[in-house]
Amino acid sequence: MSFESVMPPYNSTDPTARFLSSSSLDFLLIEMVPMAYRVTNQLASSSSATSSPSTGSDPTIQSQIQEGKKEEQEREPPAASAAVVLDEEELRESVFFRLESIGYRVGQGLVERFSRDRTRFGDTLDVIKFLCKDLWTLVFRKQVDNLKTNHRGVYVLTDNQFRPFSRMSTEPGGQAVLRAQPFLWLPCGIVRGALAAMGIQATVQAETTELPGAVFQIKTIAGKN
Amino acid sequence: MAIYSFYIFDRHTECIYSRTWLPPPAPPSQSSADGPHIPPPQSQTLSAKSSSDNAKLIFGTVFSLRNMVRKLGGDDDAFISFRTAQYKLHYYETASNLRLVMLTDTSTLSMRNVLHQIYINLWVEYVVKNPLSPVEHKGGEGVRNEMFEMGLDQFVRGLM
Repeated sequence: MSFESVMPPYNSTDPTARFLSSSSLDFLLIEMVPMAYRVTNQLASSSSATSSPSTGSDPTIQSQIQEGKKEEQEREPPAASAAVVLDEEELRESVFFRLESIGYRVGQGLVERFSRDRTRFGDTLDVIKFLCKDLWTLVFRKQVDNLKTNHRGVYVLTDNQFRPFSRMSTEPGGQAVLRAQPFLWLPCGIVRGALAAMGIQATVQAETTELPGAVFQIKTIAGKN
Repeated sequence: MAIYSFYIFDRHTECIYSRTWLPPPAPPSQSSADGPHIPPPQSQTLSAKSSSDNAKLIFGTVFSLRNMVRKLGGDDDAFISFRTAQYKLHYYETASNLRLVMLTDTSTLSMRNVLHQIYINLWVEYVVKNPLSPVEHKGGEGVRNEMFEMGLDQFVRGLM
């Protein structure tokens, strides 16, 4: 975070480059998750209100209540109010889908933008390396720490200092690892989108067992590489 | 230098964080009868109730002093610290209306810089940029996280 202007020879290879405070990306990424929860809950409550008006709740009132609640809910996954409309698993799935799709789109765009000066990738491993080094540095400002593969289409990327988790912390016993999980879904989508843009269909799963580390597992879908 | 305690008040005037440090074991003799917000010899043993009362008293004091200073010295004047026979209170107010208060021994020089450092290096980094911490810290929610606590403790102990 800085107000100082960047000194000239910033980026000779890319005259279109612009600078953006990394804090704004941080804040945007932070807000994506609670926003996805809010939108999902709002959609669910408005659709349930229209589909079953017999419950007697007026949709406009409901949305007003939602508006009012917004402030308080802010960053908490609003589990309590969700239970009324969606059960936990449904909510999780729906939020995951929302974030993952957004990430997918971002990943696709990023690859088009940043692989334009490269030659075609020879094989899947080259693509994964590009992902681990170049793309990871672009999005998370560091490279992946460890890459493992079973040479049968499964790649495991370990980042011991996953950027979005670097400042994640709760009071002792605050279930930090559990609450960190939704913050992996957008990056999952970015990875999957990036791979898709480079011609690799894959499923991507991520998990963390201890902050600030994160492990991404990429399973390429056979016959597509 | 000894640092006795540290408080953060949000823009709704609520005390969202407070922390006291044990004084170095030697000099517990001098503090016997003092004002409402007492340096640690006693406040270590104070109950939760009275420590929240302490926070309220401190806020009342700094709030009035700040307003008084502005009335007397104009809007640009800032209240920085005051001292009593027992302790010195340092005050720092951010542009976002967060108020940081630190109680130290009387011989300590200005802690304005220290409070500013706490604000930019600990508060902004570990509370504001913490994805698991809410925007508003009602009841101190999200402030008392491990990274902030650890960072603050290290920083303050490094000064003492």
